[in-house]
Amino acid sequence: MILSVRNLEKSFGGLKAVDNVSFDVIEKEIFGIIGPNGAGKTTLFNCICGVYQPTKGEILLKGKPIHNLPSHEIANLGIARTFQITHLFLDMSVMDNIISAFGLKNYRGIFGFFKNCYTEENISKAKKLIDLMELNGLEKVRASNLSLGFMRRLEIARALALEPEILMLDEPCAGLSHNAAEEFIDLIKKLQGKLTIIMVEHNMNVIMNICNRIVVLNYGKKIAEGIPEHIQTNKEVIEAYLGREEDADT
Amino acid sequence: MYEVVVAINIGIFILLSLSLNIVTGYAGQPNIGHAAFFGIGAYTSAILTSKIGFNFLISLFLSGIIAGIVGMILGMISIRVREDFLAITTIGINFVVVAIFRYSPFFGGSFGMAVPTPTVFGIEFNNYTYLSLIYLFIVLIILFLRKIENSWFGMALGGIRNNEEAAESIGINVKKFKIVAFTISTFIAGITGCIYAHYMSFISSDDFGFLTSITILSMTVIGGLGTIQGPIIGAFILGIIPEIFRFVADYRMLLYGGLLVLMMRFQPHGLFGKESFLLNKLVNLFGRGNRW
Repeated sequence: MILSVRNLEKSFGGLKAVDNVSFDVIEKEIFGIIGPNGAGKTTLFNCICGVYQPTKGEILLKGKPIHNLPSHEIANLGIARTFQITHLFLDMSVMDNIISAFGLKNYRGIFGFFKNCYTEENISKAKKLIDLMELNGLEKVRASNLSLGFMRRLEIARALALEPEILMLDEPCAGLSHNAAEEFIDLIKKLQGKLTIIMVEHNMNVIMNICNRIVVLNYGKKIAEGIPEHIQTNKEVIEAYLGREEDADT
Repeated sequence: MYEVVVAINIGIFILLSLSLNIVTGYAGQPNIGHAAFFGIGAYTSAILTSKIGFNFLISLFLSGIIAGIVGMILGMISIRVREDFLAITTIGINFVVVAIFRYSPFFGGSFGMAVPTPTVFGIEFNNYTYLSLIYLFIVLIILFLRKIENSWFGMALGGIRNNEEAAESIGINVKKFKIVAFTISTFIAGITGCIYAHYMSFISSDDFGFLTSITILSMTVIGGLGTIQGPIIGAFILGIIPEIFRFVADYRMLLYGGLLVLMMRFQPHGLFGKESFLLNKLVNLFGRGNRW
């Protein structure tokens, strides 16, 4: 168990966006979080990443509570993330975007601040990630000039540069064409077995294809958890997505 | 002599623009009250040398420290707000600081303060000494900024400038870096203020008002935010125009304001900033080395 979520609750005013959700993520698996719009997936995601502090419950990373830490501390503990709407450093080059994430240790103490960041080692590490994410030839391009597909890959490359144990992807296929989504599946399969991946996604094809296990949320509550085959036939999940049969009659 | 005086004035504004560039250019945090810290440095040195009788070199250092400490404290308070609100907060800081200088008798009130001419190692300062001192500082700060541009600190500020959430997500403590950037920037402004005070030998609160802040900001923006060459060229251009065209001097603020608007509309990266029309032309003409 690398990550455990225990009775997590997050409310905004009177609204419970995440309501008493518990699940465990096993090491090196690809774990999917799905649910209809407004089910609380992104809120749950942001609680794990330290953007929000949960109202109740706890999140444990290898048994240690992390739910009260700010996001830069979470990054330090080995949880890297991407964003639903890509958050790149737009006026910096692809190379700089990746190198910026190598500074994890140097950002902490004041003594690492003024060390050179363009070392041979960092540049070659960055080139490896560029190869892995198939961004070759774009090293010097400004991030703002990339297409959306490349932006998402660059964001994943930057997250991987943190050398995380857990990679969290927030709707990595939103807005991608069918072909781009297929390419994305291939990229993720390359990472399979190297690190734990938690992803929120709407594209069922992607989720069913690559996830080992899935948790389904609806109105902030967990309604199902299990392997893709079981989720696909789960009555409650189908109801959440398609509505009940009685509803259809009226 | 006239050329020396012009060169000193421009040099002072180059220092101020370069220091503003750390916070506004690299870290992307608008500071429209930078003259306040320039003033804090100037008044600190005026008091230390004329009232307490400190040596110039010590008071030069202390002016930077005091301006830096005030900058750090105000940074801690003001980085809670972002963007436009930060801009307005810094304007407020500028007005408050000027008001303190103007209305408190300790700082000479509206009469201002006389500042003694310093003597260091038996040499009494003249315009040439000031000129060398200022340009020595400019060189040191350029070297320092080059260091920043290739360091993790520069990387972190670049991240903050672009996207604070993403910066947090890769382990950058945004608040800490903003405060450090504010402190370094105001430290340099404080040292500049000290040199300015001794050079002018008389200071009054008007020298450090909002208009001075706008002048510094215009120079930085017109030259090109986030670069080293930008603020230097910006300070040079805006400093030299009123000298060459005397009739412009009276309409200086009109010129600065007008240029600021035009730059924001057509060249937001400045004349010599990244991706600027002029710089790209020059790069195409002369070519440029690569980092990788």
